[in-house]
Amino acid sequence: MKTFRFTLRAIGVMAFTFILFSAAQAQATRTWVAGLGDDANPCSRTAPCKTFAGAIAKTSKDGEISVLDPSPAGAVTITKSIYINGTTGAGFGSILNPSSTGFFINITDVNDLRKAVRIRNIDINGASSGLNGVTITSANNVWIEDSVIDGNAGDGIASGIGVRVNESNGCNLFISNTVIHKNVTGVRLSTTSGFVAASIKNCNIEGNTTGVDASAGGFATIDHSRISGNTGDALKATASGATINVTDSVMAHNTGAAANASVTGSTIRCTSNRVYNNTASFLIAAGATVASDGENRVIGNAGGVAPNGAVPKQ
Amino acid sequence: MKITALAAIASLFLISIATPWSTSAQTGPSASGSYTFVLEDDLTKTLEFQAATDERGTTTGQFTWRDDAGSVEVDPDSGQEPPKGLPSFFLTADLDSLTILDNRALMGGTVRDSSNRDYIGRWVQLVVEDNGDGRLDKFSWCFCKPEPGGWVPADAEDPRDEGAWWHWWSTDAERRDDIGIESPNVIPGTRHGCIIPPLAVYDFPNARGEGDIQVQR
Repeated sequence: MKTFRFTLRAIGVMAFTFILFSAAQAQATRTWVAGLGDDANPCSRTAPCKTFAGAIAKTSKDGEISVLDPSPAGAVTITKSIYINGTTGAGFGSILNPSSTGFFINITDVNDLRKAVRIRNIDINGASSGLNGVTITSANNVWIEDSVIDGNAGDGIASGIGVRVNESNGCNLFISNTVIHKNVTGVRLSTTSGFVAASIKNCNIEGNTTGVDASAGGFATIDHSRISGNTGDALKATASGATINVTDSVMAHNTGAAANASVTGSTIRCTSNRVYNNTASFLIAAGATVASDGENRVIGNAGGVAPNGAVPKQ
Repeated sequence: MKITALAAIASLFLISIATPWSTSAQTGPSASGSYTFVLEDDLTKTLEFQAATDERGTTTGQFTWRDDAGSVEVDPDSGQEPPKGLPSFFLTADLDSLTILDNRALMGGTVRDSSNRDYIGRWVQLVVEDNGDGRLDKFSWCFCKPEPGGWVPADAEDPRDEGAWWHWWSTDAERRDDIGIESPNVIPGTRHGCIIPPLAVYDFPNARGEGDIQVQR
């Protein structure tokens, strides 16, 4: 009997020890990259990896990759919810993406319920030959904050885009405190199903050919931003149903129009903006709408037409 | 009776002789262990190591590493991602330094052989924590490139001067326990490219696996 009790107790202790031993520590890891790192390292703060691609494999879903120094960390394909934090301690994290895409976000795992990516304090430099800065083909929510995206070249439809959303479902995109310049198109939104809704705040979208292009299923709301110095249109709606709302922003010195509702059924709503010294203020295709609340300051533009719709005050 | 007594005395004599030898064989700190584990990538990795410091303060040992994740060097500026499906990666390193603080040991050494030839000559840093039986041991590793370049200072006017590359230990010959003082290294190019923080602040990855680590002060 005593032997039996001892055996039971021993088994219990062993089982408990096994559970304690085999139970992994909590998930949601935080990994690190640095210029002196090595992708064979565990990607810890004291043994960092070298590239985002090397670190992401060792970062759990919903985890974070942080940057220790401003050395380029390479392009990466993101297939799980994750937070990439360039940090500010030693400067921005950065990606040099000549002839490629900086961040390619394609989260299709059915077990990843959030499908959310956050990118912060990252400098994505296409070096004038990048494919796209950020491409989103499958995600629920993407945040881009405090970053710089530039230097991408292409046709402005599939490539040469700072932030390209090319979804087959709906997606929410949030861009804040970010500079997007020297691309063919700064931001382009399109989806074959559902809607792509972009909220853009405190951004400078400059020196592109087209600033913001809302295409099929695209809805963009822009506030307190500057969309200026583009060699084409600042804002362009290029599909029926596409809508751009812009408020408290500046559209100036664009070689094209400040706002161009370029196809039938597209809509641009302008409230309390400053529209200065563009080649054209507003361009409106047949059957399209540019609406105003009557509080825009429009002056010094070489051409353009008056809005043909109203944004009522309530 | 006499035979029994003589046998007992002889046994005791042999034991008394053997004891000092076995004691002297265990002088100096040491660390050893092995672990097979996975990280978030779910690819198996194995580390095996042993290091010991003798009476004169010389550390010797070996570290073996295997990683099913493979290894490839990708230029971050190329805009390309590393290829998938790489073959398993291994390396062996000679360990030449050992520092122990409480139950943690920090070992360093140089890679001597590897399936990825780029790693030969790199420095490896291994940190382990012995938490005893029944508790998870911890470990971390780091591969670093050594500082490139280097030159040997020498007196160009003296043809007999072979350069300041000599390395020595100064010790008190009258003291067996004097581990000595290492000569300063005036030759650049031998510094490691790794950060070496205080032993107490090392991070350990979330590893899932089994193994055992022993650290002896």
